[in-house]
Order: sequence, then structure tokens, then C-alpha cells
Amino acid sequence: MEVKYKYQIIEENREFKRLNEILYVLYSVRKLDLTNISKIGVQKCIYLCEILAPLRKIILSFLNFIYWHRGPYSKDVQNSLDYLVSIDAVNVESFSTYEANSYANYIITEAGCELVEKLTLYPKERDRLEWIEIVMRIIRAYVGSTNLGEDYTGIDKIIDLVYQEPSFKEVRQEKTKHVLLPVGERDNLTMELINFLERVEENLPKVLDSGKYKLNLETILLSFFEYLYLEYLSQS
Amino acid sequence: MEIERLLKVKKLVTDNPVFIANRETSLDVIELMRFYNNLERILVKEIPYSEVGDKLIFVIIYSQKEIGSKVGLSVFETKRFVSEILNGLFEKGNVLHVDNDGNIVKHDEAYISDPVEAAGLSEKMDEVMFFIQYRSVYLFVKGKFIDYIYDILTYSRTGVTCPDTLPAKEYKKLIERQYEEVVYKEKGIRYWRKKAERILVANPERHFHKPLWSYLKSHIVDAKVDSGATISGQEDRTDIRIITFDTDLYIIEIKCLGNTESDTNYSDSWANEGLIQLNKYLEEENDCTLGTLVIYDGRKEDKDIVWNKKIKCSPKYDEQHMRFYLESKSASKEAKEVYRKMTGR
Repeated sequence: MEVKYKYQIIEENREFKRLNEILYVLYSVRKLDLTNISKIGVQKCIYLCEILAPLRKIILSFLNFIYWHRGPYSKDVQNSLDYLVSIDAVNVESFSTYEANSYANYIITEAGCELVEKLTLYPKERDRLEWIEIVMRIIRAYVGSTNLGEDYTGIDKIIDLVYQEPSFKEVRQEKTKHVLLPVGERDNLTMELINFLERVEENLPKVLDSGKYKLNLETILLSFFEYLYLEYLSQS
Repeated sequence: MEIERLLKVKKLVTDNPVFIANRETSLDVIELMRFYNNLERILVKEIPYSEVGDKLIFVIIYSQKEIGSKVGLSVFETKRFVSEILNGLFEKGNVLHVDNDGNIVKHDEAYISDPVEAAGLSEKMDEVMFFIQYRSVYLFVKGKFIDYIYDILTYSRTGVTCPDTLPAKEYKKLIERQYEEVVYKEKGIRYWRKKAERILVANPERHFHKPLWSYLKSHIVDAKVDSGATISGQEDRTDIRIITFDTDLYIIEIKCLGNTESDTNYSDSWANEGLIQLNKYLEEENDCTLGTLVIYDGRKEDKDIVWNKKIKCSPKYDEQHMRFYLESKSASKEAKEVYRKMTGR
């Protein structure tokens, strides 16, 4: 097979995986009875799922996030969303207005849900859905928090926490737009924090019963989100 | 990783009330956090305290078990919930069993009027319990006291660093500040039964202990602050411990002097008992750096305490004990007296 065809197959494969991941986010949104997710919210949810994925040793497909004026941004998210709308797997449900701009809110259709159910018959896809569902549940736990995302609605409120995400914040502080964010890497600031949380009990004073403080996957993720929230509150 | 980030992470892991409650139960911790965040938002942003006034005393028993029936009211549907409170929702009983989404699934006829009763009720159940008394919030699991927020409108979430926060070694400054901001102004704390006659409420230490603990917890940036005291004051563990994430450990013993409504007179001897008690803790706790006695003085006269010189003090005892004389005169009365002294009239 010629090299260009091999490359084409790999690219198509990656494209399919991206579509799947967006569908999983919207599937979780529907399953969790969440509302109002615009492209801003989808970008932020996918970013959190991607940047934290090494914790679960999962590799997701959106690796080209850059620092853009609304935070982490991947052009592939919008392209994939448009494609999913064109094949009726996703619909535009309503519109949200932020800073005088109107944004479409997306909802997965029945056909989209059926697609997800078929896709997740494959164990690797099921793992991906499970991972995205855990992150989405934690996002749901935080979007109702005090003072969070007051200019936004529904899931889009998560934007305030994403701005506090350590890897993104590091790039943002340098004020260099279009810089590729270290998504999928194991040695970025996000994973440094996650690695610390994985063995936090070893770093506590001896007076405390360290066994009680050992964290599992869910509590590691919650601690990470709580950290983002505390950073946000401390700044505001 | 930078030190500030490490401290914040340690603080949230050790002190966050949801994590503490989670260690005592087998609940889905993500759902518990969702409920906690939503409840906090409602209490901070949506309850019109001036409207509901002292009608806002109720218990939320948070359950993740599937219960079929629903009362048709949600505590997160604030406007309707507040209007129901004003229409006498709690007249027959104020114990609400609530699900993940805030729906009231059961409304008990029992009436719980103070945190001691709430702690007693919580002992009999596996669920997480919130006792809400106007702007104060108590959190219990299986009778165990987990958290206390003396004023939901002014508190900072555990781990939030603001200009007011200080390192643990400066805890005495924070105790002074808490006296000025909370105790002196009687903000969310009520220790006088008859102020003009200087009669304190029964078991007064209980009223000073939790607010001080809550204040230190949210204002110390580099330590876990825990409270050994039970809410009922039944057990002999009335200390606050500050455990820094380096190696230091500070113990604070609180005593309150004066006459109480139950005709008990806490005098110098009570302060001396506190001194003995604190020194006992200091002897038992090898890792302790310093122990401080904090005295809230409600006696008639503002005079020094007569210490019993026979009491053997540990080298870790902080001889600069802190005594706060509790003012019982109103600001205008005080101003009149000062003016009279100044002018000689």
C-alpha cells in the first residue's frame, strides 16, 4: 500500500475516534440530565477528558489543543460537531448568548444514542465512554457551585475551572497564543499534580493516620477539580 | 511542584468536609460533592435571610437510597421552598429527607431545635446530616461531628487563600482577630443569656469552641485544623489541634469563666483545671510544639486569673495564655462612660 493511502487510513481512523468522543460527551450530558452545552462547553469538557486521560492510561484523539482567546481550543472539535449535526447524530437544541454572541446548544439524537450503544460493544470504546462519563459526572458536581461561571449557563459554566487548569494556566501566563497545549503528555503540570494526589498520604504529617487519606480514582479526580475551584475562588 | 500548590492540595485532602464525610460512609462521593456544592450555593446566594429570619432551622438528611415517594418540593427550588417555610412548612416538623437532586422524599414530624439534638438524631442513621440554623451549618455523619460553618455568608471554603489567611505559626494573631471579628461582635455566636447581668448560657465553652475552630480552619493556610470536641460536650476532649504539613503541632485549650444560667460559677479554679488538662495533653502528645490556653472571661470583674503555682507546666506550655474579657456593655453605653471620664461629668 502506498504511503499516502496508509496515512489517509490513519487520519480517517483518528477522525472517527474524534467523532466518537464528542458523541460520548453528548451522550453523558443527556444521561446525566444536563442542559445547555455549546461548542464552548464541548471544547472545555473534551479538554478536561484529554488532559486527565493519562491517569486512566487512556489515549484520546484530540491532541491538538492550542491556547486561544476562550481558553483551550481545538479546531477539530468544531469540525466534528458540524459533521455530527450533518449526519443527524446531534441536533441544535437552543441558543445561548454570551458577550452579545449567540452559541448553538447541542443535544445528541436518538440515532446518536443508538450509535453510542453499538460503538461501546467494543471494550476499548466502552473504556473511553466510561472515562468520559466519570469526568462529566464530576463536571456536573461542580457546575452548580457558588460563584462559578456566572456569565454562562449549564455545562458552559465549567469554563471558569478550565482557566485554572495548571497546564493551560502555565501557557496562558506566557501570553503566547496558538501554542500547542501539552495534552496527552505524562510530564506536564497537570500530571505532576495528579501523581502527587496518587500518593498524597505519604506526604502528610505522621500524626495523621495516613491510611485514611489514600485516594482512589474518583477522589483523585474530585481533589483535582476541588483544587481548580479553590484556585478560582482564591483569585476572585 | 511549587509549595503553595502542595499546601493547597494537602489542605483540601485533609480538611474538605465532603472528603471527611466520605471516609465515614460508603456513599457515591461525586454525588455527595454535587449535593454539597448545590446546597452551599443555595445557602450563600439564594436564601433571603432577612425574610425567613429565625424560621430557618431545619435538618436535611441526605440519602442516596432510592425512595419512591416524593413530597413534591425541592430544597433547591429556592423560591418555592422559602415560600413554603414562610407558610409554616416546619410547624409540624423540620426534619427533611432529601435525595441527590434536593427533592424532599420524606418529611418527619420531629422538631430539632439545636445541634446537640441534631447530633443525637444523626447517631441513629447512616446518612449525611446537615443541621441548618439561620446562617450556621453543621454537618454530621453517624453522630460524628464533621464540619461547622458559623456564618455561611462570610466563610471561605476550606483551602481558599485570601488576604486574611496566615501560616499556622501565627495562630495567636488569628485567635485575636477571631475575637474582634466574631466573639466581640457576637456574630453568629450567642454566649450571654442575660447580658446586662453577665449571665452566660449553659455549657458556654461549646459556643466558643466551634466558631474558633471554624475560623482557624478557613484562615490557616498550611495546616490541618481539627477539633477533638464533641458537639454535646459530653466527652473530655475540648481541644483544637493545628497540624502543620511540616512537623509542628499546636494544641489549643478553651475555657470560659463566669456565671451561667444553670447557676454554675466558673472561676479561677476552672482556669486552673484547664491548665492541668492542657499540660496533660502536652505530656501525652510527644510531637506537640506548643500548647495555648484561651480563656473567654465572663466574670463580673475584669481581673487577672490567680494561677495555682503548684501546677507543673510542660516546657511546651505557652506561658502567654490568652484571656479575652467578654464585654457586656453596648457601644453607646461604653461611649457615654468614656466621655464621662474624659470630661469629669
